[in-house]
Amino acid sequence: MNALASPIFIRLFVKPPLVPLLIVATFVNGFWSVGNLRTLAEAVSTDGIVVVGMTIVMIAGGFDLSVGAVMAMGGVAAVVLLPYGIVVSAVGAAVLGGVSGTLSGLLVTRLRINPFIATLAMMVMVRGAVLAYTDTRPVVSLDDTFLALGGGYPVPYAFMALIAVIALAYLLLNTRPWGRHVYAVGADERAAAMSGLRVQLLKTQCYVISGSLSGIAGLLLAARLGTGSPIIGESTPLTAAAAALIGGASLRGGEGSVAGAFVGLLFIGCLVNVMNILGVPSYYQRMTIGGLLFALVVTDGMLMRLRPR
Amino acid sequence: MSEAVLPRRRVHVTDVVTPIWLVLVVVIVIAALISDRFLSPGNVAAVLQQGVITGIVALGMTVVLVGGEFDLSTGATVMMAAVVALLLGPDGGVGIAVAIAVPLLIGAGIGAVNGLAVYRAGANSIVATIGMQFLVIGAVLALVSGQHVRADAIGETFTALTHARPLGVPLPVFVFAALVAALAIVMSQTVFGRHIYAIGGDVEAATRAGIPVARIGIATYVISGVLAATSGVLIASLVGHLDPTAIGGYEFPALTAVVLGGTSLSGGVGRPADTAGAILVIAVITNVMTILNYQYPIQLLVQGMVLTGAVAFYSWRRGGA
Repeated sequence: MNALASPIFIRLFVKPPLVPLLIVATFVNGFWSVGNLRTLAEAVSTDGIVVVGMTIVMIAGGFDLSVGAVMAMGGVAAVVLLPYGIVVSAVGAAVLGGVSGTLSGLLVTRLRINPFIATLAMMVMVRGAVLAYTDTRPVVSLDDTFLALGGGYPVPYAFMALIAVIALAYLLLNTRPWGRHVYAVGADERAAAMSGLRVQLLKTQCYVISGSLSGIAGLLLAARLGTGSPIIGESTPLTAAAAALIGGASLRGGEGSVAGAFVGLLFIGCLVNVMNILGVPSYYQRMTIGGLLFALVVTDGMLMRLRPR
Repeated sequence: MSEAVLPRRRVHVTDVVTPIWLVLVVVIVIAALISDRFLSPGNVAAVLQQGVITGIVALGMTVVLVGGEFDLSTGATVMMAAVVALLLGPDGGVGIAVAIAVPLLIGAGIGAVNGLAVYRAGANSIVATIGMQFLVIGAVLALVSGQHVRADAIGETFTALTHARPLGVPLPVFVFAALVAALAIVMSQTVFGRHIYAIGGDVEAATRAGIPVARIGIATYVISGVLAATSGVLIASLVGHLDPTAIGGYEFPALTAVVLGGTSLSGGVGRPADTAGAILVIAVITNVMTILNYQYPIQLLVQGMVLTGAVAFYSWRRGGA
């Protein structure tokens, strides 16, 4: 009985039912082939980097709806900056994302705007700026180094980047005082402020991390596609929020883990992958993700009512 | 709960002339100075038409937000209603009635589910209604297999509904005006309306005062769903055919108008008439930008700035909320 109640068991079998899904997927032709697993890894890696940022923001009691638009901005910026070298391009994407994150952070902490509304406004402004800059057309790159960055066989470089980001975030959250502080701010902002934590700075830092990671994810996606598209990432905030919620984060802060969010993301990634193999049209996938998020938020709300703070 | 959050019963001048209407006058004057085409009858009708579609959506979101919650599924509901109305092939008297009633009912259903999730289960309304948005858009696209929708049997009476121009003003403008008036009365003069303000002002206090919070809250979402669907039916009648992937995104300009009109993001404050004023402000700004050839991306950017500015302004004026 004890084994059934262990967190790892729950994390893999119940919330989310990742292992059962994988077992079912075995009956789907070609799921376990190297090619498909590589596709799966590619698909989860860019979203995954975003999920890490979103999870950190959610632990601090915030939310970031701008991640998808920032991702598009990162991709476009990376391609536009390529002529100055790959390093400038990568740094540019991350820094632009960080700037947008700083703005979100300032809106939330200095102007005290509700994080959902602040980042929704940021989302629209960033999307508008990117669409205006590119004249709504994707920017294409044929740079060899850049395209190579989007490859990697059998393990895509983007997936390696994801693993590195997860490892760093895990260390940051679980072994550094900074991580404890972020959890403290999310759990009870007033108490955190009274114990001398610089709440506004900490929260802004979380948004900066989320913005930078979204920018980098945009760069990696652009490298894979060979184009920086101004319209990508529309559903990214949903996927990221769903993964973080599955991973134990809550919309009121103070909870969540990067490892859990990763499992959540794998679950969603496998689900979408299986639907792709079976030829399910994209609108059913959109429905599934929307429905999943809706169900998760309802569960989140009911759990909060059962054990109120 | 303080007296200030309760709507006043007697009508004062300041009830009608709120700052947003002054802003509207200023914006119109500037617009007329920038472009001599702005005040031409055809363009004014276009501004009103554009404002009305988003405006009806914004009215519903105002009601929900006065109760302290958000409804971001409205854009998807607009699309659903437009597609369903066209698919039903509105021809003949009964056909038209069905093509109007069914989308409105589905809109009410979507609102009821949102309301149950938020008020019964305690779900975060922003994320839940964004989830609903994707659910509805996905379902509608699945229904039409992502194809362009063209009504086979669209009757002329159905299109005439919105193309009629009594007194030279498009009929949807009258519909909008009637809805604003009706909601203004409901919100300020009925027990139901006052309960919504009470819930938005302080849920805890409202519960303790014996107000049926969940029932009223669900009703606000149903109102929002029905109004969004109304907007969709109007679009169906105006356009007659549509590309479901190209329609949408109404929730953002609507939300911007709601906030610009002074509805508090934390609930308890806000009036339908002010939202109507804000909708006109945004319609004028958008129209001028279109005349000056600033396309959609810049308009999006400006809307985001207006929303941020409005939120910051009101939060500063209310001493941080």
